[in-house]
Amino acid sequence: MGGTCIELKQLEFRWPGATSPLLHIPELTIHRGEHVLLRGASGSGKSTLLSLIAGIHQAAPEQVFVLGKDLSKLSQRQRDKLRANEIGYIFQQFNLLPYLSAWQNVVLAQQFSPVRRQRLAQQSKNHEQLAKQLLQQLGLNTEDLDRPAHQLSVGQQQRVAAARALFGNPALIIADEPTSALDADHRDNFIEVLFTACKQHDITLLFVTHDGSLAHHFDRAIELNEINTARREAK
Amino acid sequence: MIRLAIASLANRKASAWLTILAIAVSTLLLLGVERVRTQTQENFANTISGTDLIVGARTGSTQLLLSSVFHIGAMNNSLSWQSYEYLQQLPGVAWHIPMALGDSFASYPVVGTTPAFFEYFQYGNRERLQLSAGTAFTDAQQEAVVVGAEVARRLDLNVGDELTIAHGSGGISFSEHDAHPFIVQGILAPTATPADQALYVPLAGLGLVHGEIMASEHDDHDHKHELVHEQPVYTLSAVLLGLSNKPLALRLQRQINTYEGEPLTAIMPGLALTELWRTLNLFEKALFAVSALVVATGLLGMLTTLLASLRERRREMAVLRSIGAGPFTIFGLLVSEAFLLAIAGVTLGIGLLFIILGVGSDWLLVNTGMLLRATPLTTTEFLFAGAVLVAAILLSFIPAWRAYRNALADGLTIRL
Repeated sequence: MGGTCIELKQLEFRWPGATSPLLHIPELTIHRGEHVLLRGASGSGKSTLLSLIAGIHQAAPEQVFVLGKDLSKLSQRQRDKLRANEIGYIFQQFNLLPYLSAWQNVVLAQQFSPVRRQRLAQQSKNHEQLAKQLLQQLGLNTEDLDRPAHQLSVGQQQRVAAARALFGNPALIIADEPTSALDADHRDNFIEVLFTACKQHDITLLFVTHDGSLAHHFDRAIELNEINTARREAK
Repeated sequence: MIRLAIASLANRKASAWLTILAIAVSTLLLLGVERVRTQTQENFANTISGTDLIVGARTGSTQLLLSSVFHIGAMNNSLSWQSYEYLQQLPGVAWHIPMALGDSFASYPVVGTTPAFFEYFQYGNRERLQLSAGTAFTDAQQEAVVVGAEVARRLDLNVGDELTIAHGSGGISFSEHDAHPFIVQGILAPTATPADQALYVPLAGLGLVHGEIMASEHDDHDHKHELVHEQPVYTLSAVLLGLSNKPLALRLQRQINTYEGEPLTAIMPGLALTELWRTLNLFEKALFAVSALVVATGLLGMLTTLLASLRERRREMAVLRSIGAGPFTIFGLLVSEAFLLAIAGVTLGIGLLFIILGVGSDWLLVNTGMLLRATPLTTTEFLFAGAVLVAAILLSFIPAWRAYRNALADGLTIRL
């Protein structure tokens, strides 16, 4: 599958009231189906960049394109819709609603997304069954599927989070340091599981971390400091 | 979204239940007070019916009503026997009940009257007095007493018991008419009116204890002799009149008010009751204000819980945002949460009200003489319940707005 998934052109972003820009990225292109690692130290603007791509915050026109759409031309509601339909997001931790069970957390992904529901409908009408299948593929035990999220271990929680991001096959998964709360064994295991699933469904993966030792898993590793010229300009 | 709100609330069971309970109790109070207010007013208007005019010596209409119907307060002036005889022969008078007040038994008022009282006095929806035990007295009996339901219950009086009445309306009197005991001959069935709280003796009996029985030579010579037969008492406190022709009441009232023999006042009980109720308006408003404040407290409690929960729920909001929930969805989530809490609270409150009315109304009637019925909700009560709901939703806009702002500002950063 060809085409670009994320394209940044002369992105410049500063928080309101800030004197110097936090981000200035002349160019970045991520193709569809690519698995990219974005490395950056904390405070380097990673989270801000992610929220721009996810459409939470808005950049100036002609700077951020996701799946060919200029995000600045979309309304808040349209960006929320795009995120619901095409972007799966995995946090560092606390990804789940603690009061829902594992599979209910996964099914939540289609709550705000008619497009995901349509795609799921091609497989089966039974979302519960689909969610449970996916969770088992990601290595959860049968007896854990119905347990409330807060009873699961951190490693299990991150798998549930991955399953929710994958549920209904979005085009892009953004993972914001999803492994930083995991120990080394769980970390490698989690990345492997996530990779397999993304490959299987041809999903673009943007994986953000401060840990460069994971780079060998990925097609491409990008240093945020190298593409972001804002710091250098300020000096 | 409602499902999410329910699940989220279930996660915070303890505070959710407390909030529901606070709203339930305040709804219960609001509706309870409203019910007490309207039904008391209704009972109040039910204390007397069928009587067209109440006549007493010249006084204010409220005072005459209070003393003759509610047995509250003393009448300073009285009505002479001659005036009573004048009233009897007025055109259109179908029946008349004389009342002599001023004595008491164990601080319950004793009313001197005639058998006409049991025959003609009506209350509520034109209901006549019933006896739950014994019989009413007749003209010939002088030492019989008929006891109101509450008096009989409180003082444990039964048919055949003897009692001695005291002069004056206070609890303790030094001039007890010991020489003339009365024998309980009948006990009235409960009416939820002041009739339950009085004792009824024949006028002749009252005259006997007062030593008022007079021979014809004691006649008051200001009045014509042919009107005067044997008078059981010198004076009366009030006379209730029933007319054969109701529209006549107005004309008759005027005629009595301008009677030349003695200054008299005639009132129409319905009008006087309305007037009296109006004077109680302030009390009624105060009650309402208190219950409205309790509702406000309940709702503020809900507001506090919702606002307090927002901080710990920022995580939850970020997760919802990440799966594509717009800030408005977050707003809606909080409003629907408040709605659920409020509707559960109001429903529980109404349920409690009916349980209390169902279980406790007999007890209330027996112990306080207050008649409250578990009738279906009135329009006003529905409006009140609705107002609580609307107020809850409006109040929830505050936390919802903050959550909305948080959602926009936090985005996908999880703050703890």
